[in-house]
Amino acid sequence: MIQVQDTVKRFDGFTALDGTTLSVPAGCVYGLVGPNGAGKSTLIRCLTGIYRQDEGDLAIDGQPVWENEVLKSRVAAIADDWYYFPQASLRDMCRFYRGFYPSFSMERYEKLKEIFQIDEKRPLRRLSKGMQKQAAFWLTLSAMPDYLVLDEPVDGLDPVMRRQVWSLVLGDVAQRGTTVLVSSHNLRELEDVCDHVGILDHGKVLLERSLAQLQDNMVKLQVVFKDGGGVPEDLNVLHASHIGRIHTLIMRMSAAEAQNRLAVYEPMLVDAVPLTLEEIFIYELGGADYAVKDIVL
Amino acid sequence: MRSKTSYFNPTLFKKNLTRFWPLWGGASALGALIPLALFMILVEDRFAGFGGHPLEFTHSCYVALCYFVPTISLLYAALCALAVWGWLYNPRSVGMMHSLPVTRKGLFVTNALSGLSMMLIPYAVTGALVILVSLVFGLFEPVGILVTILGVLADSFFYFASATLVVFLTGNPFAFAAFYFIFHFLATGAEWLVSQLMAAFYFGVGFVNEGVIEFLSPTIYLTRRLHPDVTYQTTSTPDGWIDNGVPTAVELSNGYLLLVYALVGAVLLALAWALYRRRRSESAGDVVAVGWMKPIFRYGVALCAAAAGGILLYGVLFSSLESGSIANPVYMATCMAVAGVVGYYIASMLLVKSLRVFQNSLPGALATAAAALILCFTVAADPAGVESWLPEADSLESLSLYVSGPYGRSLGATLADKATIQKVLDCQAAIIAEKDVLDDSRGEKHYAHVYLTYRQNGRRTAWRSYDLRFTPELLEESDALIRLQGVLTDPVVQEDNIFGILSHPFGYSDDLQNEIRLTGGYVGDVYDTQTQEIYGSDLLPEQAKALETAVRRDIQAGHFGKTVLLTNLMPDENAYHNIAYFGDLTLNYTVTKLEEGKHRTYSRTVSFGISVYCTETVKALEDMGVLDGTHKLLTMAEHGAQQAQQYPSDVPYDSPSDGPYVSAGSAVVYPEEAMHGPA
Repeated sequence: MIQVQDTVKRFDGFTALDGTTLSVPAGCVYGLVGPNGAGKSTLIRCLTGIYRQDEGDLAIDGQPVWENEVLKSRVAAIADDWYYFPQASLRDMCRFYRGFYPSFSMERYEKLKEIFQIDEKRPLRRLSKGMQKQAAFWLTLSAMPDYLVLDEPVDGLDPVMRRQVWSLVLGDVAQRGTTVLVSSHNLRELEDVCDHVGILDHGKVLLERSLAQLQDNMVKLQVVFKDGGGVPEDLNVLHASHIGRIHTLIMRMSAAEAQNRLAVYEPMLVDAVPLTLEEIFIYELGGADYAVKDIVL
Repeated sequence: MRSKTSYFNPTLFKKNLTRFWPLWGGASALGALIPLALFMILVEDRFAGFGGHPLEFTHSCYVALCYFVPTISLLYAALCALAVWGWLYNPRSVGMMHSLPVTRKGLFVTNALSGLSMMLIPYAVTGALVILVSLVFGLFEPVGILVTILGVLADSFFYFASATLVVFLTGNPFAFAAFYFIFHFLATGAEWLVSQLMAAFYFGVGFVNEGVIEFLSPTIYLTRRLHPDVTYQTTSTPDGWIDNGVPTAVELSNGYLLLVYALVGAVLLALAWALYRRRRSESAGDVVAVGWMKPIFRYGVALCAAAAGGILLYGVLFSSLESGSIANPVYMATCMAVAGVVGYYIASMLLVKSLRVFQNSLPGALATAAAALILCFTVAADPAGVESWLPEADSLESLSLYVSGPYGRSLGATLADKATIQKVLDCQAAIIAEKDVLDDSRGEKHYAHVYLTYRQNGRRTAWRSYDLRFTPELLEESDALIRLQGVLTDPVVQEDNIFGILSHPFGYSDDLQNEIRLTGGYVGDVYDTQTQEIYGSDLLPEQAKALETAVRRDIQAGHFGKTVLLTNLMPDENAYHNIAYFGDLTLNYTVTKLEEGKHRTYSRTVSFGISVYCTETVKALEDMGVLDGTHKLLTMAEHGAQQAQQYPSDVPYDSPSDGPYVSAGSAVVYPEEAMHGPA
């Protein structure tokens, strides 16, 4: 279990994490989403021991992360800008990782050779961005970590390889109980793999729930009011739009509760439509003054 | 559970060595050239019949340790430190290294050991081959080798530790290079800057390199203080000359300094570790990686820019307005303030890695300008009285005087007689009092250069250097110049000027009693009016003795030293050339020195020029028949005319080496003051 409690991290007066609190249950895939500059990468760097938080606690399995060599041998990370030694080949990096991670499995490394079609002896710098990302996954998954921390992990991968690496990651989650914390802007993808989601904004976690709870807590309704009327002002909606007589309303409540509320106005039609994670993200952050603005240029 | 942390990571160590093998491999290959060259030299020597001696070999090792290892280590340590710590300068690599399951202590220890290994491998390769060569040629000397190895270890450790500390102070390789250089030469540079500023305002005060804080510049300090001392075997030969080819002992003088610097290295490494513990990974790429260092950097750069830039700016813009060598404080202060503010903004730009530093920066810039103004006016006011400082004659062990005139005719003497020293100090006091007149570049004039060195307890303690403007009128009116002429013709001064080498034939630190014998002499450039040829004439010992006596009589009469301040501004426009003789006179001596119960004999030669004022000397030469009606000495002017007549196409030359000089053996040795004159 990953626990982040009231964590603060400042850079030269700028507060990147401002009392961040979140909890990643063991064995789950936790999607960390948020706008640019929300503090996702900073939080990940704190969790992997790169940065030391100024305040608060960061713990994995109840142990502090900072300078905890034993704990970190169970945690593997893929940064959005994964680093390799300039002259190194995949094989060189494999030897390097193997020296650091006691659980590094050469057997798995050899097996993964079938999936990642990369020349092991070729210098990594000569590989494409996508192939470098594949190399990162190859090494990281071979390290057999209990905790996998991924920052924009599938950027640069083609759709087939995206599915492939997610399949490998989810396989580890299912078979070995690996806990995955993943930060991404690709919400469509996260929706498919995450069972928990946390939304970070301005260094604070706006909400964190299981995906099911999240979808249960917000509803999208298509409504047609009687006599072509508009959305009643006393109806608390996050967002409203209309095409002809059909109004689309986003409301922060369960579908049943929303339908009960609308029943007062005797609408001609009420239909609940499932919300995507992207829509939840947009409308949640819309409440936090981060929404798509209509600007005429 | 939190256990089993390791301070050494073999994977990282191996990776470092394999990644950077071209660095230490290349250095090893270069190092291996030294024993190879040594081998070739020794083979050649063997063929030539020279056997060599183990102590000579040790001496060579010590020479390398004293003069080459510090400089090589200074540069090579920077490369090794950059190799093993370079990842700290890249945010991506910092992220990767710090996310690995290894503590910072583990990273520090492993990288430090990797870097030290890279430092030592080339030395080990070179040392092993050198030992092999010494064994092959029977020159192996275990003590010398052991001392050299320990010295190299100490040097390497210190320099690598210093480079490591600088790595943790900085955030990018360019800043590292600059800071590393500053770290090692800041003390000398600061001393130079301060003395330059003082020289700009104080008459007679110039660059000071007394090395008061030189120990803070280890490379300079080590190469100056560390040196091998060799003791040679002495053997009597039938004709009394001593052969001294075989060394009996070689010692490393001030070798303890290496141990001291190694201990300092340990402290620096501990400081580096302390900085690393507090270092923020996000500082990668910054110029200064440590928060509290930033204001020090900002205002340090500003201050240095104020001093160096101010002097430079003043030299470019205002030096032509000066009437003398002293800078105008108002102009200088303006230049320093401007340069200081520029330095302040440059430092600010480097710190924030942006050109947009002007907002809210006015207080800092004003503070810098104010500090520059205060510094300038404080130095100009000379609160410590540096310019007017005169030592007490009784406090001096000796005073060295060097005076040169417009034609190169010069005088050099080292005085221990208190009365004569006081006479020189009185002259100096008069020079300072008349600085407004004598330090004036306006109008037609000539300059006399006066250089004084005060010694206390056997070491140089201070010096002053004056360029004095003089004209025929000033020579008669100026108290300082009148006193200077008195000093130039003073018998004690001239005695040391001409015969000083006999008082201290082995330097001023040698207080042994020596036996001196006059063996002959030589009169150069005698002109035969009948054949119109110029020739030299050897003197027998008795003739040389007569010449020596006559010279001393001329010295006592004050006939020597009168030509130093002759100029073409005199009523006789060609005064100097009409008065100074062209040829030099030479007296040859042997000096027998008692060393370790045995006598060693050395040759010493005294050579000097004379003028028409030296009547006693000329008379003595006439009495011994060297000069007569048809054989005479030519003045400069006569010699020029004779040469022009004999070689019409040649341009008559103006001045040969007409200053008094002495020679030791065949090598010409100018008076010490000439060697130590201001750069």
